[in-house]
Amino acid sequence: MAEIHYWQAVRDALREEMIRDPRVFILGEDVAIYGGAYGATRGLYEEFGPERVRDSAISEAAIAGAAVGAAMCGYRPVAEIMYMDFMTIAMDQFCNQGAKNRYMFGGKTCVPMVLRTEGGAGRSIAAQHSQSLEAWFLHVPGILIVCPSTPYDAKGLLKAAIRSNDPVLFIEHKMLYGTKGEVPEGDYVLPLGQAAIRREGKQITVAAYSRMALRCNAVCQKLAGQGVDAEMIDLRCLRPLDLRCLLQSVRKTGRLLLVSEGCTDNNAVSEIAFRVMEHAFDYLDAPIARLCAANVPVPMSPPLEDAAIPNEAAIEKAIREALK
Amino acid sequence: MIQQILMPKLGETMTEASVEKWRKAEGDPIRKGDVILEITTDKATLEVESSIVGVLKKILAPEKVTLPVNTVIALAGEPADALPDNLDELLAAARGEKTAEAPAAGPASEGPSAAASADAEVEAEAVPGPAGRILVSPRARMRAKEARVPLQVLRGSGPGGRIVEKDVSAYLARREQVRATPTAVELAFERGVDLTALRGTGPGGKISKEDVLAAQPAPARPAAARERRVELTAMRRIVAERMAKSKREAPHFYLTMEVDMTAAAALRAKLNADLPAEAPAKAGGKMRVGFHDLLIRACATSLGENPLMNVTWGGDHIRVRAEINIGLAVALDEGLIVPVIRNADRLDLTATARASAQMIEKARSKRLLPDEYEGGCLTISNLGMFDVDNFIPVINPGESAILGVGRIAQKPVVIAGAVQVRSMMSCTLSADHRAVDGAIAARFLKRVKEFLEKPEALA
Repeated sequence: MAEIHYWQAVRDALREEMIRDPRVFILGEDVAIYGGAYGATRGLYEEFGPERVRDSAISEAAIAGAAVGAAMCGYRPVAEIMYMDFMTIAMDQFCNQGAKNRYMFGGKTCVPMVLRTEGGAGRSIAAQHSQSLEAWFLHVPGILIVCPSTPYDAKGLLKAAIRSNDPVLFIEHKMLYGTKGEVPEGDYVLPLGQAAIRREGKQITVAAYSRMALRCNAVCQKLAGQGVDAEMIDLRCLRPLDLRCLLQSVRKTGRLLLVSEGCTDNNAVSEIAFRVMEHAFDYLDAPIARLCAANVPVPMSPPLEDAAIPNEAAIEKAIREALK
Repeated sequence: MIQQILMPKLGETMTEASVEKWRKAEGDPIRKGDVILEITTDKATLEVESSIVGVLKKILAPEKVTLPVNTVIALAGEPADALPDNLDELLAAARGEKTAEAPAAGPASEGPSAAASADAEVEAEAVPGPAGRILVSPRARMRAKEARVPLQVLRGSGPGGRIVEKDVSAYLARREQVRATPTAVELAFERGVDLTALRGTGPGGKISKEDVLAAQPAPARPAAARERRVELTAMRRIVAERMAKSKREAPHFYLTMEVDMTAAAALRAKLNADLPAEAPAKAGGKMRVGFHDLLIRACATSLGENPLMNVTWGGDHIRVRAEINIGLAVALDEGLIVPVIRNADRLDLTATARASAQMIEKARSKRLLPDEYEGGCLTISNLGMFDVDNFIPVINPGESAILGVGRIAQKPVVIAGAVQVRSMMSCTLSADHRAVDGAIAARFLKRVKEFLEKPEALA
């Protein structure tokens, strides 16, 4: 199987879906001629032309609003918001229109759009370009949220997102575009809402998503040689959440550590912890633990940025703490 | 009209106190003389009565927060009265928060609000759980129940002594070595009996229902003891401050003397002969006389003869006291307190016994008023009941001496060339050398000894 980059996996998914379905088109800032800020639409403008790969005005409201409208008119737009931090400007179009129209029109319409964006820290580009805001959107029913950590997942899940009839927020990670992984050639689709068990273990369940899933997995693999038998779950999607997989794991291990790159307060994993507690209370052998980013605007200074975001040393410490 | 209720100042040395308990709630009508709240000073818990008629409008001071005297702790008035505009300021003061200092001129002084870091949330660790509760993880609880293991027999190895799954597994491994009937297992579960601690009387040593019924339930094991931080009570803090101050400032010297208590013991036995062992502290009724009562009388009488011992060091002067007030150290769980028997030289032994019993009772129930623990010049501290032979006490600041009293024990003593068995007691006087010299203290102590050895004069 060929190893390709995460950005290539995103591009391949877009390309294959555009070939498969003429209703699929792309719009966003610098997605056409420039090929996207992180290169995820490279070559598509040349292949599909200006009708299907559209450079937009620098207006996130316009991008999201146009995507909602086009989706309701029968297209399947894939809109790109360059940084997740800029979602604030697309909030009304996406959350108040896109997420609600299917319900407010009594099911007579649907909004089959994908809003691709990227989040996370790691490039020392400070507090307005480094956020992980997935928790905001989890508070809006009607939006599906996907956070892939590998090229394989990125391709298979983006295809599923494009084929979904609900609005999907597809959150890539700015530090993952350059990572490589095995991706089969040709068409495959991963179902939304299915977690991946990266490592099986008996002592503790460690669950994470996006870049943190990779870090957690690395730590779990390393600790396996030191007598710590952790089960690592990559959630992949935050909605739908694969609660079944989590519960099965927690019922086995009795312990759960949740890791996220978003800041700690009201993090997406807080809700996950609550649901696990509701369904697996009697199986817990220790309080559910979480490791999230510090409750600060992400610092620009590289050492401070590293200190604010869970790194492998912090994850290892949290696992050992949760095992006490 | 809104009226302020202040943290009262109940004694000369009282500078702060905390609300122990609000006995009235916001909106309750109050009349003059109603007990509105209880306060705790460094020495005692006291009831505070209302001098106001109306309604308790607003409680400002939370319970258990130490505040300076004269802090506004509540507002009272008529139901229709509006609360004052400076309510926030009053609330902050009554919570023990320092009011913000006036900012320096210019916008630069405003500073960031630091919403992210200024987390005023209560530390979860600081919330205590009910005492004696067995800490157990839900998983361990479920497994224990399934396997019919009573939680009382388990020892927790998790954080804070929490019972976790592996503790249940470890117990089950041990229980598997024990043969017991299913009924016995079930009964042991219900009754909290540790099967692994029983010896079976059934065939082949099998534990039967009867064995479990005959066994004592295991006592619930609260979480294993761990090192912990105990916040200071007001009393503990004051004791620490005063003892350190005494040792720092007062140059102590020590005189030790043996006293023959044979006659005193006989007198005490005679006086108590008609009284039941636990005579109730009835006003006017006869009280049993304790050795401490004899000691108070002996010290008071000797102080009367040695006025230069009845003094207080004043920094640039020595104050010779007119009254003879003897303190009696009373141990409490959270520290100790020294109630004072006033004018002890004017009391006979019966009156002394009554006064000391009353003061001890008040001290233990923390109902001492400030003038009942202030103004002593010499304290008696008795550890004889703990079989202490002799000890060197620390002077209570403001006083010039303290007498540490050990146990009374039968000892061989040489009297007129012959060995006799006598009831002997050893005591050590610590005195403040700034105010008192050795000869004065020795004369005082010698008279105490003489009074105790010929105690008829004390009765």
